[in-house]
Amino acid sequence: MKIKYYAEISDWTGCTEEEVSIAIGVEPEIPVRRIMSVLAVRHGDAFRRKIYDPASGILQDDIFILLNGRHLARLNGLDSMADDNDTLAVIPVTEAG
Amino acid sequence: MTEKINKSTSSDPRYSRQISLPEIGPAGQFLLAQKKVLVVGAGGLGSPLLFALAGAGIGHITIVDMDTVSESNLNRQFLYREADLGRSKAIVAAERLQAYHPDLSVDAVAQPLSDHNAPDLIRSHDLAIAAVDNRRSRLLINQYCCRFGRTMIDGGVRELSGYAAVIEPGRTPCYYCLFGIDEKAPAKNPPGVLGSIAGTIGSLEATLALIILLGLENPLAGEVLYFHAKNMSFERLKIERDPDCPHCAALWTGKRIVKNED
Repeated sequence: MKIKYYAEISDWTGCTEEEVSIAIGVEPEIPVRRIMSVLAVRHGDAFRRKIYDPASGILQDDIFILLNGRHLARLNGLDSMADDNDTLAVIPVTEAG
Repeated sequence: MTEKINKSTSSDPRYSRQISLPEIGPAGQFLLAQKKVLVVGAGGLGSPLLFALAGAGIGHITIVDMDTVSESNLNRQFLYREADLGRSKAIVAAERLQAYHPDLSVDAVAQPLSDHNAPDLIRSHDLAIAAVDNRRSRLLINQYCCRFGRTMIDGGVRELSGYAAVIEPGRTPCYYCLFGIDEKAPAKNPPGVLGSIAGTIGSLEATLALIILLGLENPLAGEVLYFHAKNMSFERLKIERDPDCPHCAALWTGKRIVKNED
């Protein structure tokens, strides 16, 4: 599946976009939580500190995640299921004026 | 207003550089002069966008802001000067716009936007712009824009980045579809922001407003535009409507638009 990082999130991951394979056929879809854990391993400390830490299971308050353009909170949170055709967008809460 | 409209559609040199654009012309200038725009927030985003709207010849602008000018505003809110510290932002902003463009009709509302005043304010304007610093106000503007079928232009900034969006109820996902999430208690220290980033996003909001008011195609339909200064990137984020949205779901019938009447 495609993962897209917006604004300063891309500073922490070093890229604006990347792919994660979910191995269709073995497990057709998996919870977003597991995808985030894969990304935390891939991107290390900054990702765990600023976005999602698999050890605590906490997604930081100032991060929004969209699955195919829908906010996870309006779906099933980090337990929302995703497959290889889906797109995850990780965006910073941007509300100052 | 009639005199102002006539003046703006004639050969007024103030508008000559934009009337020459094929997207505007005399007819577009006439259209802009008839429009009423509500701007909620006269801060970092509001400063550039208010001047841009006034300069473009919008007929009437209403500015809503309950805050007073403070020293920490002065790095980016160029509507204000040191002598304005402690004064109402809405009132000072209206004075500055009036001085910039004496023919402009401008009102100041030095109160918070609330369920009490939002319905009348939004219904009585052609378009509403969110230039605020909190989710609650954006949700309130969105709610009444959905109710009265008004387009909402939204923008926000944080550190070295920001976003802009156009919400056309019944045609695009609304703000609630995307960010209708409970807001956490505001942080003790507001996030840092580079002043010029607010200038960039505020200018984008003004441009989007003018595009919509001119009747041109929404260039961000179903998308949010993110800007990040560190790599000078503009990225589009595709968004989807929430079929159960309490504010805009009723406006959709498949892809058909059902518009609210006043």
